[in-house]
Amino acid sequence: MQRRTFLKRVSTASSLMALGALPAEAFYGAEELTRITIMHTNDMHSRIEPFPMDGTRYEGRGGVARRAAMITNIRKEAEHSLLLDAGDIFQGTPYFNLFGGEVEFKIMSKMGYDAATFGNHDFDGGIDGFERQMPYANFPFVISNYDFRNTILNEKTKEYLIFEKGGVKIGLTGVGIELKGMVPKSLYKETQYLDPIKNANRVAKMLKKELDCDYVICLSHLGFKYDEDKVSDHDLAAQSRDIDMIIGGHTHTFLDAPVVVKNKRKKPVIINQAGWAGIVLGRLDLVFERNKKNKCVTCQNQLIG
Amino acid sequence: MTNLRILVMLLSIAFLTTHCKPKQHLAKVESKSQEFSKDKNLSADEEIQELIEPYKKLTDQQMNRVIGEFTEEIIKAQPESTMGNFCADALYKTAKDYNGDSIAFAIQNYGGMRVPTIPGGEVTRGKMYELMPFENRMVFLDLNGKEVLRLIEHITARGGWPVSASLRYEIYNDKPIGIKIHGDALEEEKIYKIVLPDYIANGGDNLDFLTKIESRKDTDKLIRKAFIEYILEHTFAGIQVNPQLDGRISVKE
Repeated sequence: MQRRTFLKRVSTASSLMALGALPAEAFYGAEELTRITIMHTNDMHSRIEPFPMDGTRYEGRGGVARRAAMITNIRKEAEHSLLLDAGDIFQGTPYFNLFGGEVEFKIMSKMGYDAATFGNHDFDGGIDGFERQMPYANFPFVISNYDFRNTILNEKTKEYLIFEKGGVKIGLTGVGIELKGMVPKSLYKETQYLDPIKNANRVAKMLKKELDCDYVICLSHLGFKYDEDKVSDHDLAAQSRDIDMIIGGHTHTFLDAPVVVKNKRKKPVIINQAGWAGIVLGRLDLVFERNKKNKCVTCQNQLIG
Repeated sequence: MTNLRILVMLLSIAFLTTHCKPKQHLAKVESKSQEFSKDKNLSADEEIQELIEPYKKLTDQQMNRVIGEFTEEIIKAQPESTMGNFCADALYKTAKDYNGDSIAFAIQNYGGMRVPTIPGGEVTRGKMYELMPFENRMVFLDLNGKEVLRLIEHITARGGWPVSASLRYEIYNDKPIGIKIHGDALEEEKIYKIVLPDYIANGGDNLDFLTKIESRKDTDKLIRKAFIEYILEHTFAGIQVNPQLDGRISVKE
């Protein structure tokens, strides 16, 4: 049935409906815009305090207390937001050596992180050390390519998460870097590393096709891009089909603006990374137009930096 | 209301919620990443500050102790750097004290140094934790000349890792040439005792062949402790630590 004819036929019904519980907008496809603010960090490396004022490159920069204040300010104006981390929360200052990750997790919980994925250094206290700190984290860990079945983390992580924000369904998954050769096996134990591209694609497809997500974000600790033959966020983006955004880490990459890579369907995938040590708070505002047409009225098809 | 009207209404609800479900189109993406420390008006979040306070006190007590001084800022770079020379020479010195005189050279993986620079002047214990946060320990390996060459080829391919002053070589077309240990050319069949972090000896950075070396001695000595003791030795002797570039690894054009 043609939609126009159908609408005519139901016009009587709809005028009656308008008096009832359903808003008229449900019948007439008025455009409705929803803004979702994605805030993100990566490679925080236990940088609790700002870098000391000692004349070195990053002096005075970073520090969780001011980052928390900024996050609070952003949340005041942003109705819908997510706060995410792409791994390597642990290791880098004595706070980790002395307290094993407790301080990092407590702070992130208080800041209201929605999810994080695993970095290689998150295994530095051993997989048992990570598990011991998990009670201090009130947010979930999401990863699709580490098989933890024969480890203490079995069933303690998520393959995906779904967030509903202002009528937009956002799917989230995560990928981690190959641990062999980088992390001693005595630390990651029986964790099995699986192909990140295959698994991120598998979960992203499920999120889009079966679980009805409007947008899929992948947290990644693969690294931004490499000269050598090593899987990166660029590779993941180019070989993906259902991932819309990659929030990366590992390579401590500071970007002036996010990078766009075309996926297998020739659709843009946005890659962003926020340096390291919590110096920068990554932020991408997504604006969604909700309508019943196949095309979008306000879409600008571009990234505004 | 007639039954027919009610039916149409119900059908239309069913149709609209299933077949004509509104779609979310991504209209635009705005990039607004920000370095918050540049915002001078942004004051620290008090709750977070309170949460940190007791941990900070304990950390400061243990980490703020000054252990010595660097004459100048030391910098992490490749193929040779002042920071790398400090680390490898400190490891060599500790290993030599531990094992007598027979150490060929010390090696430290480049990625294991976790700060880009350390300023000149006073250095605290905490700074050594930042430089070497890992609980890596000192390991001795006996390698033959061929295995030494393979190791040096590996670190050369990685752009050059810190080595102690007892090892010198040149990089030519990304390959090591003119390798000298304590001034003598590398001999294929000779056995060399080297010292390195267990991270590398256990196959870190894909150096799997090192895990197959049979003559190996593990120690409890933390690499970080080797660095701290090396600085303290200077302090007790009344001198600053003054790592210099000496061309131990140089690039031949």
